[in-house]
Amino acid sequence: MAAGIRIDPYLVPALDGVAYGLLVFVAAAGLVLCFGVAGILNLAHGTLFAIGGYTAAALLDGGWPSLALALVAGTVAAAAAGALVAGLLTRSAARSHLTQALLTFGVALAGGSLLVGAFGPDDPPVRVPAALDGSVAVVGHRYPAYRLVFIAVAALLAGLLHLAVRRTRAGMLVRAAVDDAEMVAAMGVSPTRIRVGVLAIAGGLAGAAGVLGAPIIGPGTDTADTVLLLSLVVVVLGGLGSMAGTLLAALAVGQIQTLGVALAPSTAPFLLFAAMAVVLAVRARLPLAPRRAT
Amino acid sequence: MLRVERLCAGYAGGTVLHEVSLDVRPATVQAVVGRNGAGKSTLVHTVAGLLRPHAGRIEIGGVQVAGRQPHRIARSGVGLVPQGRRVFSRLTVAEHLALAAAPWRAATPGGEGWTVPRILELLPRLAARLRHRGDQLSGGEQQMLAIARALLGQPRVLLLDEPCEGLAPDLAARVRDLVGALARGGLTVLLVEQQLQHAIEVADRIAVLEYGRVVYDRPAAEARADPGVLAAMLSVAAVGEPPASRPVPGLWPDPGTRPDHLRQG
Repeated sequence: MAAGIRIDPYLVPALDGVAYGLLVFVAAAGLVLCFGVAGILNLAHGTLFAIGGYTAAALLDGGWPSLALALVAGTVAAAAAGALVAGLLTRSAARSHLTQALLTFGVALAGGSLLVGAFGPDDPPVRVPAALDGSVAVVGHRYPAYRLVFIAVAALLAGLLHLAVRRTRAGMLVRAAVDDAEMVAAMGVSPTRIRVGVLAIAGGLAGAAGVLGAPIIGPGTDTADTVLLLSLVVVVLGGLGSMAGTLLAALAVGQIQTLGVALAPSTAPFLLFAAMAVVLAVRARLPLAPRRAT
Repeated sequence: MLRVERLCAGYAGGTVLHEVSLDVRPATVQAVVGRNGAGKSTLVHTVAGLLRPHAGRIEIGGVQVAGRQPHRIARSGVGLVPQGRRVFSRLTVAEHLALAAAPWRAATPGGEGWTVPRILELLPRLAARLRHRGDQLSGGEQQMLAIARALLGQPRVLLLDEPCEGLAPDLAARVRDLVGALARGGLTVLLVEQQLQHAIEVADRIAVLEYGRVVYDRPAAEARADPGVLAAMLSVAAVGEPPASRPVPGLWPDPGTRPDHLRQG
């Protein structure tokens, strides 16, 4: 009973952390695919998320059909923007991470300006369906219904993503390309098609996260930067090897951002980057695993 | 089937291959031997499209492919078994075969029509390891998987880069016998080898690369008749008579189950 009393004040931040973590997971999974499969450091990834967020703000009118429409429109628009980024990265540009970073950073700046120009500098309101606009009781606490539903939907998305990577031919191709992209090309698969496909899927994931996460974070002028930063942290913490690693890292980031703030308000903002620094330092000291089976 | 003409290639501005020319006849094994750094792997990489040539021609079945991207060269009928196998460590054997047998790989004109059941009949050891990941296989199993992956691409030309490297002698012998059987079954093979004895056993023709140039290119029968010439060229001990053809345990569990196209061997 005593333990229950201690845990109780932190239940809501912990639940928020799960929601936040899953949101970051859906967004970061796309960046992991970009970097791990196509080898592209896409600094415009946060902008793709913002496209989804602004689409939600523009289309959501408090009804269910508008939510479905916003989800489809935001996902498609961000996927198209992702494919456009892939189109800008020619074969030679795609080989250099510095060129990628500069080019995609430029796209992010231009995209951010276009979004602010179109929707204005103020954070637009987002209207969720009326049925999800209230709160429900969770162990004696009121908790926003939308966030609970979001946790379920994001968990479903994570599960579907896991199945797609593990069980489909496209997923096999993704895992093979992470391992040895050159051998995948030598098997007859076009690297350009992989690059465009992966960036479009990554954009679609970011767009879907942007729509679904709009009532939680954003959209706003800082949304793209925040999401990009958190996604990069997840990429560093979770590595590029598996979606499970990405999920664990995203959930950890979510908890640090919410439960961490509740437990240690003064140090929580630094915890995220301290964790990242520790992981980088430990990895730098580990012997390198062989790149290829021999 | 595979014609390389005055091919020049290299890395970062440095030329490794100097006007290399080879003419590999259909359904034969052309071995290329040479010391470390002679340019053997550079030749394989260039033919496969992983390296862009500086000059020269590469023809597959009369079609010029030099400078094309690797996936286009693969689709024109070139299968690659690279040095070190390079199987996908995170994919199981079954996933390797499923990916390799994907629809985009089934359309090579004149390809052999390899299927997963046919591959598993040829290489039954893989059938027993379907659920194992690439990095859980032995070196010999990885080599078989790399060959299976290449064959499922329906190649007309198979490039093998030191396929016996790091294998125990009996496994190396099995791989050599498999290569010979594939050529007798109609496949054209470019076999890069550092070990002269490995090459001389299975090749129809042998070329020697030295500092990126072809300094010897003769029928293997000549090399077998007078192995001292080649050995002196490579500064190795003269090779003996090639061993008599022998059944290969493990590759074909029972001669009766050996695939039709290989029975003539």
